[in-house]
Amino acid sequence: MLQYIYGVITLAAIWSLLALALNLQWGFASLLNFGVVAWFASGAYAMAWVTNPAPTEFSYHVFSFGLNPIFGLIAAGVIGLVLGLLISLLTYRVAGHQLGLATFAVAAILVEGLYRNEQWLTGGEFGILNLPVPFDSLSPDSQSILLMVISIVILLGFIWGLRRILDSPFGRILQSTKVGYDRDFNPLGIESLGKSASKYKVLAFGLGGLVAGIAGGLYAWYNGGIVTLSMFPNIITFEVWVAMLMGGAGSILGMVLGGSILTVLLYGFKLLPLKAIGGAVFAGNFSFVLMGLIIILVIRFRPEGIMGERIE
Amino acid sequence: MLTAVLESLAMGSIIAVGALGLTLTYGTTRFINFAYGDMVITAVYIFGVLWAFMESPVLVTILAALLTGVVYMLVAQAVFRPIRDRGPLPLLITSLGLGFMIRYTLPIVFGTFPKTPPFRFPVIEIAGTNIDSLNLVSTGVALVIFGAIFYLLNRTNLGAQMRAMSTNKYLSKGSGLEIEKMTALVWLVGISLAGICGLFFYQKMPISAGTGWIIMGYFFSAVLVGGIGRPKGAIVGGYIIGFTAIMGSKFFLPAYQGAYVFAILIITLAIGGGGLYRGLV
Repeated sequence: MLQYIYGVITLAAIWSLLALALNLQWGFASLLNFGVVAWFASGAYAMAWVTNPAPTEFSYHVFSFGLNPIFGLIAAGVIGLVLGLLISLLTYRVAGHQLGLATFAVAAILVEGLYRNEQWLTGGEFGILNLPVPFDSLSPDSQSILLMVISIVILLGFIWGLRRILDSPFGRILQSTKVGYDRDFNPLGIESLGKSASKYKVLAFGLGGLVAGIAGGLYAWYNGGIVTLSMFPNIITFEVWVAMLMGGAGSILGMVLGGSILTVLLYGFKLLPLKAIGGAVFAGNFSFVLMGLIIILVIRFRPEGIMGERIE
Repeated sequence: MLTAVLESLAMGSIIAVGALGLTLTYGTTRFINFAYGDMVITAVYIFGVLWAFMESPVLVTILAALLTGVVYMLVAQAVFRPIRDRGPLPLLITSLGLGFMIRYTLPIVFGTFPKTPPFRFPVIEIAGTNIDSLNLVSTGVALVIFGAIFYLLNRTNLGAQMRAMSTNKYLSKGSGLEIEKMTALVWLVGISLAGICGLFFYQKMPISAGTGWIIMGYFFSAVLVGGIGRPKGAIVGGYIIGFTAIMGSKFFLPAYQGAYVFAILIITLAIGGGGLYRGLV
């Protein structure tokens, strides 16, 4: 039971990291990302590629590096950063809502195309198994405590780092590119100061990608060193949006709150007797219907979420 | 080769019909509708319900498409109308939430089994080659629809009003056009087209609740390649995407059909996102 609780807290930290990543992109720079799952999955696969053990006769992936898990986490961040920079550089000419389309496309190409079909790379549906997880040698209980602590420390580290960044000149200019919900972005104000708005937006998108990638790496550990395709359904993108919108776009602590509420929603619903009320299909789908409703209601009635600031 | 061309033409026609519906609704409300794919496949479920009452393919297809249009016109009134003046991004995120609700409500109401059509189009033999008559029918139906839509837009008073509204909403309102009624009407027409498109996809592949999200990218790509908000662009884009998807999967790696289409989307965005047709509708 305790181990279950440690797991839920770890997961809440991972969701908070993802919400933090999306918040960097949408909350601070008004950049849409409808492909969060691509960054999440890439981070997890980066972890798998860097740390995977030698292939056996049962596995599909063909290469093995077997490095220390720490390098996996670094690789997860790097792949997220590179992917984020790449996409935002490719599409920096187009308006915000079209970046949403581009990220949607990236998620489809990477996750549904590349990761699903290239078994030598990802093991396809079978996945890459038996990755080394830190503290393998300890008992399961103490291992899950330590993983929880690591996740929380990483989360706190990013919260601290982001606050520093947002208070820096970079962060201030970045926040001036925020347009809120109601306007199209007008870069004249920033550009009249001699700063390139798109440069800051590209950097913010990359930075968000880095955070999401690291969340993916942690998720591989959380799953006990297994990375398979079924861990990365499209739903993840929406769940992160729900967490971010609930917490309040633009607020850093709000992301922790949003991520935690989302985790409670996801796991709390599994404890409710939904199966008895409406059958198995109802129980499996109801919480997602509710999440869609949350998105609609938050945008309609409280676009600043729980902790965000209202932009007028 | 001939079969591949025919199949591409049919696929292109189906996508073009869907893209036309998407671009029409974009013209009035100016946001990218991320619930569109889910709206498209809803027609299949409505078709299933109607089929239980009467087994007449043509009538049920038309009815199901219209009913889809009516349902989502009403939903759009309830969900999108209150926040319509707040700009494109809140609308877009709301559509994401709406699509999400549709996708997970459908299996609760209609079950999780993928839907397959109750009737199939026969394979006919013309001059020694076997041709799936579905390909001919879908191309033909699409051409009729294009004709009807262009007649509506370019030759009728109503169409002129629609184009005026798409070009400048506030000026049209000031000139006495009934914006709210027109928006609702365009949504009815647009989503009915989505319904027809969905019913042809029904013949092509088993439809489950998740299918909408996957095929939605095809419409997005088509609309964007052609120039968003432009009916002509949607049709041309539809055929470009149809040929890319079918030829790509026939002659290169079949598993990457979606990836080819999305690559076109990203390339269009990377070179500026304007598409082929620009300017006034």
